Amino acid sequence: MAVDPLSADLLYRACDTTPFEFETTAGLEDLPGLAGQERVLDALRFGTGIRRHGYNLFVLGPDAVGQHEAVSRFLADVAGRERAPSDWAYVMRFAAPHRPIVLELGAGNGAALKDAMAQLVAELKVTVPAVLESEDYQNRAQMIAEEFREKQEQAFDDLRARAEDEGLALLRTPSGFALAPVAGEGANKGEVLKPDMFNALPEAERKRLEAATIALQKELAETLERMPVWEKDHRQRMQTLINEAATRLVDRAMRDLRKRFDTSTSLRDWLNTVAGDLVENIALFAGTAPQQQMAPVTAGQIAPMQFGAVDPFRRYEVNVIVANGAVKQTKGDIIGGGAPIIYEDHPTLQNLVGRVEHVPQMGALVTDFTLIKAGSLHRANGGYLLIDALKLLREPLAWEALKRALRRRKIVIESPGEFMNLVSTVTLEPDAVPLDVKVLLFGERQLYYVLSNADPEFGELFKVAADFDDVLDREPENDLLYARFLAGLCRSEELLPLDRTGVARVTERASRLAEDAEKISTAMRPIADLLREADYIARTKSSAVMTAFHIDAAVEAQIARADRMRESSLELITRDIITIDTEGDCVGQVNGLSVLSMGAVSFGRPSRITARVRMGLGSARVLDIEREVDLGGPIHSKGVLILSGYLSATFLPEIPFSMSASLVFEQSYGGVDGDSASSAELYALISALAEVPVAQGFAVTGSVDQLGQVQAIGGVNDKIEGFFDICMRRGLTGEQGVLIPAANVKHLMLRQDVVDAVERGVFAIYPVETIEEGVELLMGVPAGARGNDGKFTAGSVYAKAEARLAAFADNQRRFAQRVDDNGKRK
Amino acid sequence: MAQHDPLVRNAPEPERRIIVGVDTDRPSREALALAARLAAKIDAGLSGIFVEDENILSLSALPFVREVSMSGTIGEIDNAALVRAMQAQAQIAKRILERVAGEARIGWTFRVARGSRLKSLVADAAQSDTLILRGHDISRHELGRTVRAATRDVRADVLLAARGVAVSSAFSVEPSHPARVSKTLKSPERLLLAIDEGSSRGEACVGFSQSLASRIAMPFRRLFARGFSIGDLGTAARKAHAGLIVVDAGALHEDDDAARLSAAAGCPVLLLGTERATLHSGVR
Repeated sequence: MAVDPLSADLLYRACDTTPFEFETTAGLEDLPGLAGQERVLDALRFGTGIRRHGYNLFVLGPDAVGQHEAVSRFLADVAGRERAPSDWAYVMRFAAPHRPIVLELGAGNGAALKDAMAQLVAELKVTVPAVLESEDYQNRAQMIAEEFREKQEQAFDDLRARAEDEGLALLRTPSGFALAPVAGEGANKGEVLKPDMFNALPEAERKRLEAATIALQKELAETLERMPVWEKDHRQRMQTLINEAATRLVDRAMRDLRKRFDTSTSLRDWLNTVAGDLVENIALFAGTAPQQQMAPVTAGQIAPMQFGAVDPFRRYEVNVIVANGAVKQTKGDIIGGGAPIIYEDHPTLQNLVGRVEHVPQMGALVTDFTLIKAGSLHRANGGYLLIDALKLLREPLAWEALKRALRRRKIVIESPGEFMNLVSTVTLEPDAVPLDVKVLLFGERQLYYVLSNADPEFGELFKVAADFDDVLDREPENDLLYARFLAGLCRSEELLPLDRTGVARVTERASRLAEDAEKISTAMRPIADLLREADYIARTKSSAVMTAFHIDAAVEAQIARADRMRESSLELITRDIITIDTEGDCVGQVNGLSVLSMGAVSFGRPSRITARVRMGLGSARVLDIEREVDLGGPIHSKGVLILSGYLSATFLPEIPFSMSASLVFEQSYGGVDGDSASSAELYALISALAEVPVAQGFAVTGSVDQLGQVQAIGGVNDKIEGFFDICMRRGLTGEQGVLIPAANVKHLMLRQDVVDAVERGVFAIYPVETIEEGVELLMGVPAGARGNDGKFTAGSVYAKAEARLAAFADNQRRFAQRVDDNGKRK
Repeated sequence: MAQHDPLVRNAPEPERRIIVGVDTDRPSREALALAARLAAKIDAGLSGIFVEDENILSLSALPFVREVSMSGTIGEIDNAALVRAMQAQAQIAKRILERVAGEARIGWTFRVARGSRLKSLVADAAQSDTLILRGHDISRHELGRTVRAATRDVRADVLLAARGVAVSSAFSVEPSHPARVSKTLKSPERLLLAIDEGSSRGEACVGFSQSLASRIAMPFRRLFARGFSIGDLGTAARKAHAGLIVVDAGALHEDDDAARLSAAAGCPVLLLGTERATLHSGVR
């Protein structure tokens, strides 16, 4: 059963440079987008190819694997072959200014329409005054005015003439007219008769004058009642004259514009309303229109229009919110040639669906259609929108707004204040923009699963999952692909090329990041950081290429920069402030190994695990002190319960157990979780039970099942190196080593100094498959096997343990049979 | 302010006055504008008279007489309300006069008179004055009688614009928006037409007219009028695109000749009350 230590060649898998035919990565081609990620590639091809509702994509994977860059490269290729989508513009709805119209224009036509409208206004500003002030127009206007005046005067002249015939005068009073008898002759000729003069007239004449006055008064009243009708008719004729002139002018000015933009019904309809509005407001261009003529008076329209009233010609502007003619291949947030690819780095509600801005004016916030701003959904419409899921979920209302837009397939501009009824400012209700976009959310796997479970709409709207592998198999062909990946990275980052040794060392480093000697991590960010730092070191040494030396130096520098905590931990142990024995023997005490992670830094650290055993009350109870004080996590507790199961099944299976034991991580003041120490805990318990000392030169890691099989754990390299560092500081004795699960051997990518120590035989790593193997290694005595007589091998650890347990049980029975003088059990 | 003859002054009265009846209605405003332009051209002062029409104030004495409002409502006449309304109109008219005179940068006086509208104006005029008359709700004969009284009795000049005559084009006006005007089609210039009926007074009238045309920067033309009817003269003047006709008042025989001439020519007529060759040597 004795276990041999691992040979040095199993502790680190060096990259084989023999297949590398290149001198440096400068001679290698870039890796096409998603090599090694066939599953993702298929998902992206499918997701971007299918143009059905709900087939948006969720790109899963660790943040560091560079999904953004890889997906962007893929999309740039796809989008570049697609047709550029439409331009979108907001214009005024003249009948309801608070509800701007959205226009869909061909790619690049937005700016053209904007310019054309500006030219139209400029042209009318010149031509309208010229025509309205021309003699021809003025004569016709004068003629209409004269006709109206003559009609009025004729009516009064007729009345006046008839009044004169009757001996009456038509007089103008301050607020109207009056008819009165006047003197027909003499010095007072033409003057209103005084009462005495009137009374001096014959009665018949008086009656005649009175009757005539009353009759003509009635006619006068009828004439005056007709005046408003004439006035209205006059105004209509004047308006008709203006309209005729304006219509001719506007039609002529808009002829080319209509032909050029006769591309859609909505655009045609809007241009028709523009023509109508221009005719209606032609006085604006003559410089004679009062401001209020431009300002509708209904309450809902006041605020939006007040701003426009400052410049009445704003109503004819075109607010181009999306101009796809300008989309070019850039390194910024917009990439691609045909369809746009937008990465929304700050996915707030308003950054997604757009917003309506306001400006203060006379103490009030006012707005109009020219202040509508596009969101990323607008800009990505017809293309692809890339968003980090976590950022999206952190923004209030943004996730709901995105889902609503995708579900309704249109973009409705909503402000957060409006959404939550927080503001009462009058604002706009712009037309919704039809939406045809592929949204690609990026997030960790955990987030994908949470969303899948918690939000029923998520599955409906994001039907395609593109799951990035975070590791590649470490095979010769993949090593070469990885070298090409590194070549591309060096080029895009403008770094020195790597020579073969450099590529090999980076590959080995990627393997260490994967915690697996048979895998390569696809995490791009830490490798990119490593290359940048190695490039810096190489340049300081005037090297033209990055070699293994520069990579090693960069790794060491990284560790050194982040090493304060590790150093501090080591110092506490070497100064015996934290007690860790690395020599001698001790009963019930084993060096367990754990990994501490602090930000980007993680390192292994030994912990002293101790166990105490005594007789119990008829059951096997292992007291997990960590759990009792709420420092132990659920997985750790599970591990302790498993080892209890192992003990119960291994020792005295036929009789009741009577053992009480306690386990603790000594000098541990933080939380403990994970089951990687369960084998160490079991060794400590067995040692305490059998009262057989454990060699303290060993550290142990590995979980255990109820059958005593030692199982693989994570962080094996950090753990080994953590214990090695302690032993190294204190001086390697040649009796020190680490017991690891045999299943973890394939994960070993240890530091060179550890490998060297093993090679020299001053440090050892033992692959352990069962608890029994570990017991023998740690206690120097075979664990023992149950023989045909049902007993463990005499003198073995398990025999001692079982004997003690039997003694506990016997004692327990004796205690149970003690009765008092009344015959009752005590 | 006194009820009668309240004279308001804000500047020394110039030697020559342009007398105009002021009121709040459109024809009165047009007449005031015409008067102000003429005053500015010939360095005269402006004398505005608001007349409280006695005919109107005596209406209430006749019980069957009613006032018909602008909306056609027939109502009884309240004399006190009429007086208050007239006083209010006078104040408004004064403000209008003040503004118009201020814009033209001319001196002005204002007073309120009570009596007959036209007679009050004539009564205020002197030989050196020019009376502005705008035919609107006055019959041609009444207008003619007033012209006769002013030119023959007082021997003042009268500038008459008949009903329907656009007074805005009577004198050349500097464009208020030169840039815009330059873009429009330019109208033919209106000219000053002097009527020479062949007498010595006609000759004097022509001489005066030439001086006046030069003063007010209008092209001048002489029209020989012996044997022509008023209608013929009016037609000739309209064809000549006259902006102002100057005629000796003595050359017109009938009361309504002046108003007919103005209406036929489509421009104001300046009737000279005195023979300028003997009394005035040109415009002063």
